[in-house]
Amino acid sequence: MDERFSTESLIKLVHRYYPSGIHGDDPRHRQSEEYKRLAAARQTAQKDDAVWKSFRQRVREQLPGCVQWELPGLPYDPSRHVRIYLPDTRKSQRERKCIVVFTSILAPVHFLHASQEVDLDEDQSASEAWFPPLPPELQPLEAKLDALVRESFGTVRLPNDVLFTPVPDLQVGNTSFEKVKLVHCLFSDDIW
Amino acid sequence: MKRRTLVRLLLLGAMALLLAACATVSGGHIPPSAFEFHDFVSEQGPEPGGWKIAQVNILLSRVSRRRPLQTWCDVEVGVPIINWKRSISNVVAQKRASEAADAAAQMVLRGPETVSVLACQQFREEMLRLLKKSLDGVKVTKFYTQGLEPKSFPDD
Repeated sequence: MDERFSTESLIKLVHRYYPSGIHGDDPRHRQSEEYKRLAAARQTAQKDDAVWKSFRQRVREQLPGCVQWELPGLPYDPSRHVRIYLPDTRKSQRERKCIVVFTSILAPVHFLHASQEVDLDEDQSASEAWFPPLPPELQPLEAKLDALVRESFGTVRLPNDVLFTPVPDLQVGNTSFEKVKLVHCLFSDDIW
Repeated sequence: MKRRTLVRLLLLGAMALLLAACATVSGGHIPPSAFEFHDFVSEQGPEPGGWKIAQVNILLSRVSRRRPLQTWCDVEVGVPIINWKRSISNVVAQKRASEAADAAAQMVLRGPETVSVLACQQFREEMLRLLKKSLDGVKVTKFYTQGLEPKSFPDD
């Protein structure tokens, strides 16, 4: 793999955007150069969503039976993401499976995971996230989406061992020191 | 020592022991009206989408000699306007958010945490865990969205 996407390089990179040893609720966190750099990067990226919109359109055209659910990413995280459900998923289904595509604004990298949402009753539901290797029934959708992401953004898909490398001196979102991994810093700590 | 003075001292001693032994939760229940949702991204059609946000500063206060806590936590709750199950009205979002905030506050205040930043993180984590059970797509964070007027509980 390109040296830019090695674990060491990515750990060095994320330390430019998150202050080491300072909790997000400590006032010094948002005053830090690192946080200001991250906030500026998120603001700049929010103004330029042409490539992202074009990717969403390509998914719509090439996977017409797949519902897409985009939740706000950049207001909170250094990434955009969209949940893309198996073809012909309907509202009446108790169980729904999807592939979630994340693209980072901190480096030309992406990752995909799978998710299953289950309605337990009228009010309650639960979800579970899976990382590669994904269940066989999701692999065709995974392969198509990975190819579309690479074509659209020219990004590299990060493997599990890189994504789950600990970055214990950083605190991200609701995730504590010692529990933070590269995936949280580059994408989000809200994975479901 | 006079009998009345002795009784008074015993009462004071008992109160001190109680304060040292158990924490009390102050502030009461967090009402649904503390969460005032504002549309941030409009929904587009019947598929899951849209986004609305409420921002509240919540005071977590534990009166305890050994484990005192007094901290304001900024909490931003983001909710999709439509998820797979339903369209989420403001009334439903407010009710669920207040119930989760109440339960999360109880959990933090009954626990041992005395460090403000860690108490606030625990509070948001627990609120998110509870809300996720009933509102797919919900997010609970510190304040991120600019331009809203956060509410406070209790009122300043």
